[in-house]
Amino acid sequence: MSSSPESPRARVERLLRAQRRLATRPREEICAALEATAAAWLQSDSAWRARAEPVVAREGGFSPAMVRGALPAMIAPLAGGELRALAAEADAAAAARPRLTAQVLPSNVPGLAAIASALALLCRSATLLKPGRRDRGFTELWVQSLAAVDRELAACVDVVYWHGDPCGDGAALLAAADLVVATGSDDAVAALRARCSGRFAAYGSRLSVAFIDAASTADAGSLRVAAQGVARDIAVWDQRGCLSPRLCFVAGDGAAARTAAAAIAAALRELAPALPAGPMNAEEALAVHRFRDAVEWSAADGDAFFFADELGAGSVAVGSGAPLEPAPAHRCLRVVPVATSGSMLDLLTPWRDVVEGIGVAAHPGDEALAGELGRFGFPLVARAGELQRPPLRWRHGGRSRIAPWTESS
Amino acid sequence: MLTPDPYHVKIESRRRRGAPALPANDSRRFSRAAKPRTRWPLWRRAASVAAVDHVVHELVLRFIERPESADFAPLALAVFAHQFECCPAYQRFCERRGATPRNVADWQRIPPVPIQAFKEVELRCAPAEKVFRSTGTTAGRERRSLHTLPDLRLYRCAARRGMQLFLFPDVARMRLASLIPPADRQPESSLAQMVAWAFEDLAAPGSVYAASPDGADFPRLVEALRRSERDGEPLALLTTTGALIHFLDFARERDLAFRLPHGSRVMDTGGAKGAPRAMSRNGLLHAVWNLFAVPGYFFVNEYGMAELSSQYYDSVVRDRFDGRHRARHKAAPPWLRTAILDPQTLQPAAPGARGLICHYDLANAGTAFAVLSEDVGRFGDDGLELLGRAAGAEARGCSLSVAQWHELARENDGGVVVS
Repeated sequence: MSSSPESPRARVERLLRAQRRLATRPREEICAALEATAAAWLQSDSAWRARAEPVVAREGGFSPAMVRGALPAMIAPLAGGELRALAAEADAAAAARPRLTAQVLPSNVPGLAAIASALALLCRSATLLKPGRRDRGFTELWVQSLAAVDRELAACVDVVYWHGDPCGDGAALLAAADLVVATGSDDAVAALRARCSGRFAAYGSRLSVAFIDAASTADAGSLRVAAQGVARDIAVWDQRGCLSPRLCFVAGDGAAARTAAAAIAAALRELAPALPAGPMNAEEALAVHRFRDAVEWSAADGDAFFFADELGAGSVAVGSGAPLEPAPAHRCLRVVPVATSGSMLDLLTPWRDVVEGIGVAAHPGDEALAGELGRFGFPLVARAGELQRPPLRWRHGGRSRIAPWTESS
Repeated sequence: MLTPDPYHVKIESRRRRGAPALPANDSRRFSRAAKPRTRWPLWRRAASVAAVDHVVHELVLRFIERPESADFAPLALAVFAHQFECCPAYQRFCERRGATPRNVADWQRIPPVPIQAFKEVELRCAPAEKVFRSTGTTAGRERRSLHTLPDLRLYRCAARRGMQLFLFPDVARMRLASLIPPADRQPESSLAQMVAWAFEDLAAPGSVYAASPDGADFPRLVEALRRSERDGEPLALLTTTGALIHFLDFARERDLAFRLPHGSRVMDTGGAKGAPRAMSRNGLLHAVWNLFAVPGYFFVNEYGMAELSSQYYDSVVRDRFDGRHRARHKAAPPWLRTAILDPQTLQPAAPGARGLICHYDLANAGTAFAVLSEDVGRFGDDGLELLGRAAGAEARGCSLSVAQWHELARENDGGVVVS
């Protein structure tokens, strides 16, 4: 079950000893170590990335080119200036900090251990990382790379793995943690919550959307840029993440939506050589077939669909939006015409709490739109094409990234 | 220059004379249609679509009754041509794939209709004589498949012949007991209809429906089983797998056991739908032997779909009748062919590889000949192995599924605040 034969109790004691030292270290040292680790991964000839890329591709079911192109974005936020600001925020928090945090990570997107470990360390908490089934290799390598920069800091991070429900050592480690932070499907998170009696923070199932304003469909050049942005947000990690848009709202009539859908489908095709889709298993392929079949056989007047020959290379459908239904993952998108951005928000209201981000193709100076989106409460509003590269201080789940550590409940 | 076809000439000449059409059962009408010619596809020789409609159905019926009377391939192409001509939705579907009767020369290249299509449109070549719906246990009534049959004779003939081939190859009639309700109680169930025809065509005196308005009538089944024990008349139990498992539990709670006469048999179908618990096939084989004294070679699992008119059966009774020793596998009648398709490309999978099961069912002549299921299977050394239903899983982890999306919408409609 665990990666070493050490008993859970001995493991916890070792982590807590390391945490006592962490609690006294200067903020600057911690930030510098994390930045140096990130830099070691981000340099063009990084040995760590060279080791990780084939492992992540194989475990995660991604194409090697996808991992090469998208993995740096999972680490890059640690190399920016935000780390120090977040560390200062953490040091300023008054709540009792957990000494040991267990973080249960999902496996739909790889590379999550980098920021997860950094958040705990910035809050001076030792952490047990339980990676998703398809992201074990990166997690191990990340901790090794941290040890290569700062052995003392890396001693505060340990990797544990169990399959399915935690039992035995896994359950004991969860019970020993002062805080459990769980990210995953609502079912998985609820099952974990039932097993934990202490502080628990949950990030459940979410999805994202895209919006293209009327100005962006007015001329071919603007539409192309907008479509390329939406296509990139879709293609990254094969649309498996909660920041992947699965609905795209286009301001205008059905014709505008059809034009935008065609442009997005073309952009997805253009992007395929650079970010090729990974292999699909039978279940995933069937999900895409179902989407395509339902669209094709139910198409009414005014509907349109653009399916790439290759199943994973893009399936874009235009519908009326009634009933509103997102596309499944694997580069499928449903495009819905809306009169205005306000109409889109009205449509999304029943799902306000599960929409994590919105990628926007609009005039940069559209203050009214920015205000509307802000009031609606999207945790992340990004320019189309930037949705999958959130800043470190993105309000994941609608709150501060370090809220699980700095807020008492 | 098309080759003149005698029976079409006859139809045309009667029409020109203004003579009434021959009755459907008039032997003169199809006496020359025993075997389709392969020189030209049938649709190219047709005098009219209507003539093909009827001729194709008659040819298929004849093939089902006497498979040695014709070849599958030309008949399949004739059925495709008929469906292409008469079903606009299917025609559009084929044209988008560049497939027409003019360029499809191999029946395995006929575009298969995904079962999703049966949920969206009525696929039929003529007005429906009867409509069946799938049980749709998971996605709700609105997502149930609709199978609209213009010619019920095809389904009836295929169902009867299938049972004769694989369930009753050794007897003309047998006493039946059914845990599947009569068709008048489940008029939209193709399974109930099939069982009703079995009662009409294959049942011996003393056959009973052991189903009440509320479901299975187990005391009535016990009575039928005891009667067979007493009078030595073999009995065939027709049941869903779910009802069978319920009956196993019912019998165990009451410490019941039966010793049915040799030749008695059990046919179950429908997978785990409605079952109180899951049971493996081996577990069921063991339990059926213990409860009924029916050996494994008389325990047949049927695999059918609401979207098909023909069924697969475990080969065991047929193999025993033919004196063959093979592992249990799913066998299809001659008018039903199968391909395993790669889930990603929908091209034929490598030999022995897992894939989606595609059915080519001549008895579906009035609806869709080629049907792509969501069931996973593979061809083993002995034949088709069913490996279960593909879930159609989307990405999970922190990514919201479409099902969760709809669940939230329903909760909001019901006034439940989502937090």
